[in-house]
Amino acid sequence: MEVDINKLALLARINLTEAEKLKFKEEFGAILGYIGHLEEADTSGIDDPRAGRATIEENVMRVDDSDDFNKTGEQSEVLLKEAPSTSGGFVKVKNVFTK
Amino acid sequence: MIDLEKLTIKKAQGLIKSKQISCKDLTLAYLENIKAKNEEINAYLEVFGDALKQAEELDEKIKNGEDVGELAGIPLAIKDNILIKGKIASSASKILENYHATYDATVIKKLKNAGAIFLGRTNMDEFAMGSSTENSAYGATKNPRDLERVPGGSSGGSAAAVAADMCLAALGSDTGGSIRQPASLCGVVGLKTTYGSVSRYGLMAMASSLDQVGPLTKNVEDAEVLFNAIKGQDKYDATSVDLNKYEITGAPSKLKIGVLKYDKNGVAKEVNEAMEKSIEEIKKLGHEVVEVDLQNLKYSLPCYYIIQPAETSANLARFDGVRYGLSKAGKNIIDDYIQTRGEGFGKEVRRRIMLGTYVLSAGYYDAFYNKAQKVRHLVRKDFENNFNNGIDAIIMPTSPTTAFKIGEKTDDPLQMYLSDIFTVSINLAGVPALSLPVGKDTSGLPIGLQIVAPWFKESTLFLLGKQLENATNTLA
Repeated sequence: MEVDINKLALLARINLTEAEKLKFKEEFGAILGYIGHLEEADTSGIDDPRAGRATIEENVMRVDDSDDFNKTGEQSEVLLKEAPSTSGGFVKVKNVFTK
Repeated sequence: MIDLEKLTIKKAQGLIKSKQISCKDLTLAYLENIKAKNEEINAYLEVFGDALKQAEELDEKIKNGEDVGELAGIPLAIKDNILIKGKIASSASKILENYHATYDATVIKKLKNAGAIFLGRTNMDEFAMGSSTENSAYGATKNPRDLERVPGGSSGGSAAAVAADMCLAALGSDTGGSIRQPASLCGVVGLKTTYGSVSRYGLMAMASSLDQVGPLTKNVEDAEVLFNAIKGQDKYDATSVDLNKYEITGAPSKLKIGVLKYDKNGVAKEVNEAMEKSIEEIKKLGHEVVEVDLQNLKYSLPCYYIIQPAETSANLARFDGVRYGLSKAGKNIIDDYIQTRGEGFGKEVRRRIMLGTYVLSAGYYDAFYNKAQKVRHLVRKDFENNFNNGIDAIIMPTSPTTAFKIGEKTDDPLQMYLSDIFTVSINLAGVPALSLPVGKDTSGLPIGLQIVAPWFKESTLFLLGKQLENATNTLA
């Protein structure tokens, strides 16, 4: 199985050195070879892949209410304190669109 | 002097209640033990400076006759991926080195209300990915039973802390064996709870359809005490359920135990022997023993290594250097993400995110992810069929080997993944399982036995676990 490591690293938003790319490519070969054994499992008759879901089939409802999480506004400051860059009570990011 | 080696939560509760020891004495005894041992073992990433103060405040309340809660003064260690408001929670990653939790996890809130004391946060494989705690960005944890060996993982710090009497009990998380395998390798008890029985709100998500919080303790009774303290539905975790509707308490006194048929060649000889001895013991206890086959068990590890990285790649997308954690400047916003994640994530985390991205990418989604979901259904059906046929519990080894040497498997990710061959199917199925020590190999390393029960039947695990524990004294 051919893996395009450069494309994958870009999709995953992960920076890799050239040496790491080579190593990952080799390891991926072994790991994908191993997980490829799944092909042998007979899954005929299971049409819906959601059959594998973990949760109990039950609708979960609750009031859309912020509780006391941020009633006083204190929590906003606590959250903003963790952000690397802020401005005027907002999280600051670079331009998404460039001219 | 308090004998920490023989102390359990139950005993400590009694000693505190009868005022034979104070909460301060107990906390102090553990803090001294941590001071003496942690440099060598590296079980804790941080010991909390306010633990002693909390204990003193509890003593004051007790003196004044105030209600202090069921776990008053019980000193616990918490895995570094569970949020305690105001404390650093790093998941043993550089990307969260300076991140302070902004709220309490539901399990933490429950334990705080019960009066428990948090001694510190424990080491782990980065973002809970690993089976040896060697993937921590802050150095490996050593196995207290043999310092040249790993404690298992990913909750290796929690398991080592319990084994070395550096806490009375601990919380861990289990996505594919991360509570049970380290419990087995360190010779303590570890419980993976039924999917949906314990809230994951405030647990850093790795693979959300598999993750569960659970206790690591010195005996089965303590695991039961902590399970009862943390379980229950939580409106902040929509996958948690109303246990009044699902939980089944009161196991029958005579059980039908299924012994898993497995390839003995793939398992260490002494682990096989410990299994045999446990089977004899179970028979002596008056239970019926039959052999069971889980036909799709052989697919559970490859299935796991598709579903888990897939969910991981999605869950860890949140670490982008924008809202919290490490932030590295690149050429533009996308490059910021790439630089931040490249530098902040360790090797195994990057490997799994890439793997997850691959199996979810266009062209491979059906062959890998959808196929794995279908196989997951088969794995669960295997358990369901056995339990529907009157099997009360299934037993198997927790780990194919005892604790391995530090560095032994770090260069071969696939070999490391195989450490979880007996544990991952349980997470895929969502059933509960308990690992408890049932013997030692000739080097004196602990061997764990895994008991698996039907959904929401932790009660069966506790019943059989306690019986086997009592019998273990007679096991070699």
